[in-house]
Amino acid sequence: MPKRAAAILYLLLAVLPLSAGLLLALLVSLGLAGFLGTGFTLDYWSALLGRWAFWQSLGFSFYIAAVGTLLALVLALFFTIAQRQRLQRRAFHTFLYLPLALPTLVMALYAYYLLSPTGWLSRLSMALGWTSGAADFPRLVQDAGGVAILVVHTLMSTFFFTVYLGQLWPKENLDALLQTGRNLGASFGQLLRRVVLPTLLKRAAPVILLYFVFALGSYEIPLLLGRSHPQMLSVYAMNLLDSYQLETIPQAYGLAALYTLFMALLLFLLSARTRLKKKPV
Amino acid sequence: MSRFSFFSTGITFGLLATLLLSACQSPGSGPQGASSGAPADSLSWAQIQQAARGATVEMMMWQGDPQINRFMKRYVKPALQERYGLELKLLPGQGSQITTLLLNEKQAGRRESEIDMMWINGETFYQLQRMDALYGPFLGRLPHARYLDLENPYIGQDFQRPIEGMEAPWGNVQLTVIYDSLRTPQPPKDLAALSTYLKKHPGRFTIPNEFTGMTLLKSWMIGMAPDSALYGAFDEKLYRRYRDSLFTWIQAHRRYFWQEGATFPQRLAGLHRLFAQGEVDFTFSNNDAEVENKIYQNTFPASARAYVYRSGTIKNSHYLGIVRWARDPLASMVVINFLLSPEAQIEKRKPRVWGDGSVLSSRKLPDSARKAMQKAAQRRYAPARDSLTPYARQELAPAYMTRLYEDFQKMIVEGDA
Repeated sequence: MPKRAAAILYLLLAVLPLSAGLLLALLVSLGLAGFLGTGFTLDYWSALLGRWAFWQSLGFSFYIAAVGTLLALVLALFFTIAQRQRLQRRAFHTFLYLPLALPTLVMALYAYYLLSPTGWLSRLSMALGWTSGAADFPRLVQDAGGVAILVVHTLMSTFFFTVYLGQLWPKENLDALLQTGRNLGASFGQLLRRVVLPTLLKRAAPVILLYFVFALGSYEIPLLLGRSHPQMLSVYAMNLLDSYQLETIPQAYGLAALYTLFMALLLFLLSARTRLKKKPV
Repeated sequence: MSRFSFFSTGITFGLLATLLLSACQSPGSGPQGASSGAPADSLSWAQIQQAARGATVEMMMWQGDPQINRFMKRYVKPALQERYGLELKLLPGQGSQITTLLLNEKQAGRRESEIDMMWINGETFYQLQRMDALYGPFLGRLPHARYLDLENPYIGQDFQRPIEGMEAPWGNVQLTVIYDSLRTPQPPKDLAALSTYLKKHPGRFTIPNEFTGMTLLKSWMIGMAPDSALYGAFDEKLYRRYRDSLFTWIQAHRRYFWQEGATFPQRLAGLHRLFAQGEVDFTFSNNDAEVENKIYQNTFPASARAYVYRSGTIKNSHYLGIVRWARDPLASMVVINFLLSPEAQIEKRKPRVWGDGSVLSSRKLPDSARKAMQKAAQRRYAPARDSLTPYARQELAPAYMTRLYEDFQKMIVEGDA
């Protein structure tokens, strides 16, 4: 009985609104619903997909999500492996949780005031005589490489991954495994490649993917720290929705539908892979 | 049931439910039971005021300026409560946010809107009229409308369209360029001078990629065209000709823009911040008194000043509209009538309060109000309004704005630097 109640609740709270939203988005983008819905048309889709800026935005979003997640993971692995004992102390734990407790917009603002040409780092470098003014300071905010966006994502997710990997360590009995490896004469590199990395990354894979999805859809950070072009997908979609032209609204709905379908596919593939692995051989 | 079949059943169920819901309501149909024609005609103004007593009016407005917010919260709200016994609630939102909200409500067939009235300007007025989302005509019913300067084309016409009583003028402003008189003692007064300035001071100028920025571009376009050529209905051929001239100038100079023209501030607040931090030498404002406001707020240095280009800048009005399916259109009319009162317009005109230009005609005002209005107009840092008037240009038809914004995105922002 509780199982059935949970299933109904899941249907009502998760599946129904999501699928209703997806359907509405598809209908609006195909001209079948909404104020501009005057009959089936592919005009909005061709306008959306035919604009080079959309593909650049897609590429830029994947680049930010992939590089941000990768950097954070490398740093988190370093902290977990090299500083695990220290990180288990209470004071460090509080320090680790702090960036996670801050809203993303606040983190983005801090990054702006730290990294902009008239920010703290620029002023410090001027005071030290390294640069002679704001113009000399390297462009880190609203730059082509999205440096500031990457900094904020890395900062936030590094601590998240460090906490998570730190919790996986004892669960996976890694200390004992490493000891066994050492007794058998394995080097540090071998232990890292053959024991630590495969064990941690395999267990953490779903969480890493979920963080990647979160980073892919981030809004406030690129809104404040990103360029006017290319924009991350969420900012690009909001601009379509927020435009002076009512005609771009169905394109925004189309983009939302496309994004939802892509995410559903990604999660479906992930769950299929997990189920496959759980099957007895 | 396996997890996958459970998931797919869920999706199918959701899709079917939505299809049923969609089928119940034809696309594009508006809220039921609302009327847009001649509201409250049968009621006297005293009866309208009586009906409004005890009501709550939800007003959506841009809340990006602390001084404007203070005027609304500390002056307007208490006055409405005290005199008319009605409560005014302020909700943040502007332009396309209002359009999107009302569009969604219209699609959903809501009988009563989340908002009663809103602060709008020409392009939103145009979109809301297209959506048939405005209540009215109501302006003629307001007692204080008799003071309005509706013969003035900067007030009686919104983006080249007569307002026809469907919105009420609230304030009147002109686009100005803000600069620091200590840092830039001789600011460029026309495009030729700006060209020289940019080459001499690369990286110190940019265009905000939003409403004020588009108003600046339209002002430049008007300056490039022969007298009044762009006024009247939208003309594709003329638009393309002067857009091309404008974009050719921008492309030729963008390497001298802030960040070598590779990016543009997406919000005016962002450009104000760059100016205040000394990263750029100019910012812009659609309110010719904003420089004074910002000095009082300590956002801009006391040496900040404002001017207009010799080729002219756009002068326009901002307006108040009522939602066609508003919960309380009568109470909204009472609110708007108060905002048009000489008293509220005088208060709003004071530079320390807001500095917004009045929409009332000094000829129509009683003597005492006229004198008080003149006194309220005195400014310390912002240019005198009379000095700007010879350079005032009318707003263009709404399509110039929407097309220019779209083309600016595609050809400049997304184009190669």
